[in-house]
Amino acid sequence: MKLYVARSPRIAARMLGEEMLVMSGQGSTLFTLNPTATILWKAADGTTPLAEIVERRICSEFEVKSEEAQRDAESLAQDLAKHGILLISEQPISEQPIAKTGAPVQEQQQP
Amino acid sequence: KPRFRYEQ
Repeated sequence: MKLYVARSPRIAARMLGEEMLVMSGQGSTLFTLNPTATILWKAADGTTPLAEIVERRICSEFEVKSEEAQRDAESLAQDLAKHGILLISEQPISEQPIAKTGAPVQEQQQP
Repeated sequence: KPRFRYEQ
């Protein structure tokens, strides 16, 4: 079973160092993702399977077994989805409620 | 491990 993940269009995000700050429009909640979670977050385009993201972006760069990395990524995705800032589907997520391809998400690098 | 924290 393939899992697809996409950033919710109802958030705003920006990089701060190697971490991603995500502000949810609902509930005034500020999320801070660590560098590994940030890599997964940035790759969550809705069309690349999560397993493929993990292999390409995590296993190729970090000293970790594939099974562990996959398990951690799925756990993270489930947790972020519970908070409403990540969408998870067994089908590619091409259409989003507000705009396509996560356009509302602005990632700004600190000067 | 990928982690996150959050605050109101």
